[in-house]
Amino acid sequence: MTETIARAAAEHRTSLRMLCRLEAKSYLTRASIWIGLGLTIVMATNSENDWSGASYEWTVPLSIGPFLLGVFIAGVQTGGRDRSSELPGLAEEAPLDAGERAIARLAGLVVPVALGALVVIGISVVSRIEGGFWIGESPRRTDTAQHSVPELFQPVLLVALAGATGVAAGRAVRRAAPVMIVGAVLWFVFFGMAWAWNANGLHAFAPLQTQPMDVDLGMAVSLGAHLPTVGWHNVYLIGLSLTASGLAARGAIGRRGAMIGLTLALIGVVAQLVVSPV
Amino acid sequence: MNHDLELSGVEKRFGGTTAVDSIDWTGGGGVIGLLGANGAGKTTLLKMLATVLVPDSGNLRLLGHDPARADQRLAIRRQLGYLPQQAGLYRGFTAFDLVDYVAVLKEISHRSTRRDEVRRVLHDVGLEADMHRRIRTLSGGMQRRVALAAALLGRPALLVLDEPAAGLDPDQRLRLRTVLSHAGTASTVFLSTHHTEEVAAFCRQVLVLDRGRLVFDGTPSLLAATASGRVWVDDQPHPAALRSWLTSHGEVRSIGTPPSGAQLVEPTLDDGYLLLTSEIGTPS
Repeated sequence: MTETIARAAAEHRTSLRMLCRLEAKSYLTRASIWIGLGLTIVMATNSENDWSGASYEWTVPLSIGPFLLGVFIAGVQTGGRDRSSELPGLAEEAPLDAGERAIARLAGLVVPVALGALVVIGISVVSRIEGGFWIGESPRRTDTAQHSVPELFQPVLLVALAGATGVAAGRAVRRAAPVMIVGAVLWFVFFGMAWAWNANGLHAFAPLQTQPMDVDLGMAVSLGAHLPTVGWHNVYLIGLSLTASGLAARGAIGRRGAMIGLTLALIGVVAQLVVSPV
Repeated sequence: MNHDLELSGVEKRFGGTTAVDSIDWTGGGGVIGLLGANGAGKTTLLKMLATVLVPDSGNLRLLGHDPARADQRLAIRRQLGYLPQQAGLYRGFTAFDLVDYVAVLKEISHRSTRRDEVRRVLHDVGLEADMHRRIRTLSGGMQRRVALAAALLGRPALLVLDEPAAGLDPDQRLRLRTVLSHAGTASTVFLSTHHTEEVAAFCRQVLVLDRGRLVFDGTPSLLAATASGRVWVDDQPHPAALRSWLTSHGEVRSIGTPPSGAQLVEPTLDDGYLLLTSEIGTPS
């Protein structure tokens, strides 16, 4: 009897892993992901250089923006598969229930996250070959800089956040179009207006954090400086991603994930405010 | 006696409406038909048998398990196939990919076994030539057959079908009868329908639901026999008839208490069903 139950449980886990693989593959068929990726590559290879540090922040993380929007849309489409009509969900009587299907859709995000990581690694390799990004001439420092590893992690974590938010939103609402519009507006607020979030403590709360930041020295003088917040900002992003994943998964496991995520996000924000001079 | 389905005082309410009203019934094995008018509670009852809805009160046991308990519900679902009245299919998937996806949801994880099983069920419903077409390009009847194929996956011990013949052409209905009759030799097939001829053709047992209550449980021939001596034909409707309708032969067929000298005819399942539901609706 025990052996039978153990075999059934093992079969269940195997099927869940298989479902994760199917969902991962399905992200590869989403047009929004490939369009976003293409635009990101175009942006990354045509960086602005109007002011010192412009190409530095443009390439990482700003250029990842279109890809994030594409991943968000794919997440909404995938998460909302069972809610895209007035009809009941597919195979509601199947052993793998709605919660496990949501978990598989979240796990499948490993594909867009890996694509995001490849782009970032590519940018990093090219920039190291080319000698880094120009950050302006100032005494006692180099004229060019490379992104640190935590900085390179930020866009990858943003991909996870965009996908998880999309899956959660897709599962929550019946019509995908309004969600995509709201997502696009939020995307503009955080990406199109990234400069507005780059000072006065707001940087700790914004999903996107660009470096160098403006440090106000008083008397209308500010300094572009790299702040030691980026590592804790990544903790904040991990927290937000876990929260969104918890909301997508629902049930006991979802609630636990959301609580852990909110705690991490809170720790990330507080730690950034503590270590940041602005 | 087969006890695949055990219902004891099962009730389901939606707000102030009682959809299923205190049903007591035990049975299983073979093909069982559920008849009832629109709003009689058939779909609600089938959803409970498919573990999609939980009864508000009463006891329900399916295949010897209690669906209210998560571990036992999982044990039921491993042996269950369900065709809802309208299935929410993923329109961007091909028929093959969709049934393959459902096969994974049903824990058929071994790749080659799964693919063979998907091909088998698509063949059974006559979709082998269209299996690589996207769902959105298939006709309503074909989409219905895709959903039926998904329900047939894994040769379930309990097959719950909500109006499986809806939207199918006569050829496909014939095919459906064959598939379900075959399934009924090894499993319990519980299906709802508006078509009494479906029930007469291949159901071993028939239940009639009226306003949430079970009002008949027996064989199709027994249901037809309830109208014995109470069906007649004439050239015009009789005021004492419970129901009258014009047949294709140009004569008026009536059910109820026949007038003296009426030309009595052999009752059909339709007559039995109509008489039963008409008498329930008539104040005594």
